[in-house]
Amino acid sequence: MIKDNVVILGMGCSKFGERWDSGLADLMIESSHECYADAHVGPDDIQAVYFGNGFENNVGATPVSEALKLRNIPIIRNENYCTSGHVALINAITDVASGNHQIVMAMGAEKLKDTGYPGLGVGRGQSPVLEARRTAPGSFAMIATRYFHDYGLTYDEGRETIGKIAVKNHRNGTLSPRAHFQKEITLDDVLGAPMIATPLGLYDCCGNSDGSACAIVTTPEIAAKIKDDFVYVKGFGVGTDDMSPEFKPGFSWTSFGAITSAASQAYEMAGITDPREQLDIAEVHDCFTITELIIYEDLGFSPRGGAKKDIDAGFFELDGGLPVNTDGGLKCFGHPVGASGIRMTYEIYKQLQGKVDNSKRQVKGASVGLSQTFGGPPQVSAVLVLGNEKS
Amino acid sequence: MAERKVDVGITSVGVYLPYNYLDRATIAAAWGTRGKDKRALANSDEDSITMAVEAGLDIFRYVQRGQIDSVLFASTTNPYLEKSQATLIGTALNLREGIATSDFGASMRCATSALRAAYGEVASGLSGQSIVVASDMRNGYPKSIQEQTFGDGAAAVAVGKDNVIATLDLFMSVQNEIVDTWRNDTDRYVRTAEGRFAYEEGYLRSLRDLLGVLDKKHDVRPDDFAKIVMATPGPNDHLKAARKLGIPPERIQDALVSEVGVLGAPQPLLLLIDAIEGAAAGDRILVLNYGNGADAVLLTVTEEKDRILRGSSTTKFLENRAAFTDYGRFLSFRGIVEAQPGEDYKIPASTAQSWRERDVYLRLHASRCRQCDTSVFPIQRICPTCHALDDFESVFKTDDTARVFTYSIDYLAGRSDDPVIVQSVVEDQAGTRMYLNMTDFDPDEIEVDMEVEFTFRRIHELADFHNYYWKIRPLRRKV
Repeated sequence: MIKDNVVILGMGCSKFGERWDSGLADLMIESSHECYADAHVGPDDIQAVYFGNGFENNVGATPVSEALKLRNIPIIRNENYCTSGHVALINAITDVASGNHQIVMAMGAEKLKDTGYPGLGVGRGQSPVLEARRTAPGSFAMIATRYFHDYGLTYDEGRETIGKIAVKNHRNGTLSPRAHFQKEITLDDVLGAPMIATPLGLYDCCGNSDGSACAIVTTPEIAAKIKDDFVYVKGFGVGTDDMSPEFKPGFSWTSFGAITSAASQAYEMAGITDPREQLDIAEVHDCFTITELIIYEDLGFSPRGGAKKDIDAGFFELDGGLPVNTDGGLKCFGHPVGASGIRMTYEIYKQLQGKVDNSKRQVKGASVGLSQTFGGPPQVSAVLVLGNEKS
Repeated sequence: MAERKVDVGITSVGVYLPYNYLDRATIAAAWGTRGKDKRALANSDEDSITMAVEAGLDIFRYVQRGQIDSVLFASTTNPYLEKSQATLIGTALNLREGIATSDFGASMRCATSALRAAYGEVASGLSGQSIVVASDMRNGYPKSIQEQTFGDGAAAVAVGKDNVIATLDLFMSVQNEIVDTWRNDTDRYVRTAEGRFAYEEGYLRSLRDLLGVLDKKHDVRPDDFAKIVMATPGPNDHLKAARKLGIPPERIQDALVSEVGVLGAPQPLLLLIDAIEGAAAGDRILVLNYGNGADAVLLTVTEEKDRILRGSSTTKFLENRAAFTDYGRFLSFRGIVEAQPGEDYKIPASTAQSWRERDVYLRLHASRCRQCDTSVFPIQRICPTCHALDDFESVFKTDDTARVFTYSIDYLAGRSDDPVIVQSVVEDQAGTRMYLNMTDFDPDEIEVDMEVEFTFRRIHELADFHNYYWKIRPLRRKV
């Protein structure tokens, strides 16, 4: 049994943004050294590293050993679309749980701004012909078109509903010093922004940035000898659908099996039966505003078709019943792919410790939190549940 | 007139004219000149091969694929200078690999040459039926009259012995070695000699010689024909020549210069199709084609025509198209100016992969599970529903329609001169889901559940070869 038997000992997170003056190594040094200090361990204590890196930077795991001068230990790279970092962290957790290693690092880092263009580019995967001109905004926008259709929202009602998610996350971002964007926006800003891929305008899309986040995981026994505010792993799950949604027969486009299966694995492990009530905080994959909306429903925060009601009621606001993306989310941090899942987990970790870097966004009394990533065509999702008390 | 040994003739017809047309005034305005009427304009994802496939698909309105034993392609604007285009067209048309293919090119008479060869194929018994398809998108020099008058399009006929809608009665040619209209191997634009020289010693002389031979040797004269199809190198050359040659003006088939333009290789075929569709049983048709000499084709419309043909192939496309208003983008679409480069796909195309996946990329095949009937695209060896392994039927989808399940009008996904891409997921009647880009659309008319058809398009040039695949579009061919 893994629940409560693996803990997060320390974490670090770089400043996210257009880090023109920093390379991948600089970003990793930034997050790892905050993490060492927080965990009270050093490079010689690290027995293995799981490295989440998706898109542009080198191949293999050697960028980690090169940057951090970690030698003669297993360093394993994970690439799994937008869940890359998150799954690397889950791999680190299972490594400790297996007993093979006791102090393991998960490192997520991505240097997107050396590519020379904004966005993640066109096409990814196996066929340059079948995937020609397929973009991330276009793929996720198709969720919104179908969701609006199925739940009877007009184009304008739908745009306003998801636009409120952008306004919320930007408001949270103003309280988040490490975020790429700290800019309050209005619903009119969202609705009046240039169209990217209908119905998603500029503010419905997350930014594109550089960043790194790092975690060190260990056993509760080792952690207890070092510090007292470590955070327990309660459950996790990774779901991968069998086909790209674009080609999957009968696919609804309003609910994703990858998310629901990852969530049910994590909830079962964590003993969560009513996530809306049992979770105190969540960081979810708001690569686009519509993505956050369907995640509310796929994670069981809102009933099917009920996300609009919860959004309108402010349920996911910082002072709402279940605050979501309290640090501003991908919307404000941008999405350096390999780093994002660990960055989200960093926010949950700090919230559960009561040590958020700006107390104005501290969710008081938070004890159970969730981070979630979702990516691919989209086709893969990871969920991690943490708690600050042993149950 | 020589006795025909066998009743070989046209058994089916197909036409394609692009969705875009350009008002000639749009071109003229860019140069401070004058222009009137319209020219057909291929989209940024079209070329002579894709337009030929379109016209070819319409052939299957009246004949079955299994009857076709050869494909003869005619064009002066081949995307490949070395490589069979006809083979690619036959593949996209889902014809079997055992057919014969031939590529005809270079001459403005290539379509009538191909038609004559198809006659031989069928008359000799080498082919049961043969498809002749012609397609062109020629470039005139910027500011030239040809820039305004040339049009893009394609036309196809099937030739066979059974259910013939117009018999092929006679082929006749004369030659005239003259440099009047030409393009050198490195030229992008069609060159022309001095106009009166080209007209008088080229076009007019050849037609006069041809009519003379027809008269003396075969005892036929223009008066004997209900309709006379005159291919024309310029907007009015055919009308001028007709007056000189005693061709009754009311019998001249409209060359569609004002709506389509001067079509190049497919012009005589497309006008012939128009003529057949507008003719009565028993009408005789004379086709006069020109290009360094002239070809005559004599046909007689049969009673099968009214039984088989439905509607006007050309009108169907002319009634469903849209004005293209940007001269700069026109130049860019033609490769005449180089627009700001966009971002390429990160993975290079692979000749091996494209060959291996030809049933999917070029033939649009889905797999239908023999165990549970699940239909899935692209072909999946393991059924996503019941996990049956390699127990499927490969089914082509090109002739079907589908409905839009969801979509997004993506304003940044395309190339810099054609940035708007409609990302679309469609579902057909078998439940097959396909992700395809939409083309030839009016953004205001796209909605969930709209009916769309499949169209063969050029996708990109990665790895320095032409990558083709299918897109969807609002109904035009299947209207």
